[in-house]
Amino acid sequence: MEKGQKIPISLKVNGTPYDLTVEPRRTLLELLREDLGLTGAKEGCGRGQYGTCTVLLDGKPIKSCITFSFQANGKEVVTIEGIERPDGTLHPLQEAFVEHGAIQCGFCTPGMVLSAKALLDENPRPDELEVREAIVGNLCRCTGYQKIVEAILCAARQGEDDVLEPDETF
Amino acid sequence: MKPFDVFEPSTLQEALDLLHEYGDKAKVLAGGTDLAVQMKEGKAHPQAVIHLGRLKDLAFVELTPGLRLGPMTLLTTMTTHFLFSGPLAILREAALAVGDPQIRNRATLGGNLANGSPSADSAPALLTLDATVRLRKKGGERTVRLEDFYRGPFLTQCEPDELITEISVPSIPKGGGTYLWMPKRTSVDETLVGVAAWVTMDSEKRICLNASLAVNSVSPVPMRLKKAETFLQGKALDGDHLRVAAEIAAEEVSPRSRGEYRKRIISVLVEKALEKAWERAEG
Repeated sequence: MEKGQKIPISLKVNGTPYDLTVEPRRTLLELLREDLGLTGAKEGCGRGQYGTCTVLLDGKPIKSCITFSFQANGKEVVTIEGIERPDGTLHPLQEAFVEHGAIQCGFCTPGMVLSAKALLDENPRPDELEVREAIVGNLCRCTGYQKIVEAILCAARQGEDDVLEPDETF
Repeated sequence: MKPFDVFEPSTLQEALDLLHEYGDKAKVLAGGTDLAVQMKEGKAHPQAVIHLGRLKDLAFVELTPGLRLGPMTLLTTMTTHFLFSGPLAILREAALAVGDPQIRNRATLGGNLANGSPSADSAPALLTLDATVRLRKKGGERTVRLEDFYRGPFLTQCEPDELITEISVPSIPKGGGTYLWMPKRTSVDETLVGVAAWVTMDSEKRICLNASLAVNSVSPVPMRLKKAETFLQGKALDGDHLRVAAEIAAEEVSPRSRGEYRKRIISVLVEKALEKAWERAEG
């Protein structure tokens, strides 16, 4: 294999299948933002600390800035752009974030929402500690954690009726 | 980041052949939570990256009656697997100490050890359990004690052409253990001081027959605290003995920075870890 050679990868992003060729050093975050135009995931530190680049890989939150795009080969990626309801309205977690004022500058929000979604998909009735543990890898430099935690707990409480069925989010 | 070639072997043999061919020009990629950062920061610039993502056979957790752990076992698996409860909750606690949920969803046990970091959270717990590491290369295999695995900060016995293929606890000692740690107050919450303790008690759960203590982040490599262990042998785990053991422990470590502080924290954590291990231990 020659230096700088591109390699083929296949992955699904927000339900859409892609066959791409990428340079091995291209991170998943770069692929999403620059090649696919999905700018919801943000580069914070670029070192896997801040969590603003969080996306779901096969349903699990990961940090896309320290994940090479070839590591997503054959897998399913969900970004913040992919969690709206089928009718195009906001995901209940997004609604809860808006209603609770859990957004200040908004930079951490996509990652926060996705970490919260992964939590609620697995544990629809988390307690406050579980919520805080789930977002421990997402830093909010506006330090608005309290409202974020409240929003997630509220979205979980609403879950009894209509929300948070994983299938519904595509 | 410099360009590199990536290889995705689908068998262990293929991976070992690649390591044999590339040696120190290659880096092994498991989850990548350390390697990708090193490469982005220019601290590692491999010519080839050998991605183990396809080697699903290397992710296993088995009770044998000892314990066999595959190097590709995700740390998230260690935080959720039913085996890591009761006395073996020490390994759940160790995995939970690493990073955050996103990191643990990618990071592997083998990677946490192979990285050779003095602050590796999985090391102290495994050290107290006398774990061994199996290393394979093309045409050869050897087993080293985890205690001997570390050679220095970010240096291990794992040669460039070798791969960790198994982490084992040959026999799980009676008793119980715990891992306690305190993070630095930074965005990564790297472990400032970590202490693992495992104690085996007599049938009345009064006298300590055997104690294992290990630490990370306070010496060039994760290490056992042999003097404190020897002191505790045959003693009741009461307040006085715990205090003396904690003092001995603090004298055994050699923190690179903030020494006074870290030694005080070591003392506190050793005492607490021993108490908790004692609670978990059955007589």
